[in-house]
Amino acid sequence: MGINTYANPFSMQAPFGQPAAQYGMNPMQTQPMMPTVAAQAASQAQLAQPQLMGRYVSSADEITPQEVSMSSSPSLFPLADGSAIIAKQWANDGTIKTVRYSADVPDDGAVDAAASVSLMDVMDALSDMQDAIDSLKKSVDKKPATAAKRAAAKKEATEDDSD
Amino acid sequence: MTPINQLVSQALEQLKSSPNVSNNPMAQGMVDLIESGDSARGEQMAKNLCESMGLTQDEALKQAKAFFGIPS
Repeated sequence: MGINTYANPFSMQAPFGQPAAQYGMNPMQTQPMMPTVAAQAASQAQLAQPQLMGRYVSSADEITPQEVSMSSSPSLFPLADGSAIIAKQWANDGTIKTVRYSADVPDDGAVDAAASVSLMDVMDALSDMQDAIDSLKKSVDKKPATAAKRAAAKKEATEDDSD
Repeated sequence: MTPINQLVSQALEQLKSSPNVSNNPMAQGMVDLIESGDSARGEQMAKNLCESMGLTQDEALKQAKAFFGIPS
């Protein structure tokens, strides 16, 4: 049994086999029944807030006809694994029409191809960075020698001046 | 008007006055079908309903009689 996250769509319906009098619909009564204020308010609230009918199911076989709303709007039954949503709706001829909405998920092959392309890009970028680091290292290694030569030359010049 | 016609007429009036019916296009369609008197279409719809609900016609008739309080 799946998790029912929607409101119970069948609470206002009189299922088969239930006495009509229980729902205030007994046609054998001679006087027409007046709807109560509470019932009117409830029906107005229902009109103001349209609700999605249905529940999570593990398979399409799990859905019974009694679960399909007779309000002429489709009842939606998402599969628990997220692969599809099954919409069921009563038609005017007394049959139930079923539509299956499947998830549009890219297959694993396409995902791998995209990943391998980006990996190659990353490897190229890393290689470029390695080259740049190597050239920087070479230039840094050269700089101390040059600086030392300059310092030595300056010292010699100073000594020559003093002589 | 025969008693059965009177009963059908009263039932129709009650159904039509119910907001659950007047706000429901499918129920409205059923009321229109009853009013039209098209028995062939009504019978076909009843057969489809029985098949959709997984009921035999005898079972459905028995349940309908119990629902409307009609003695078997």
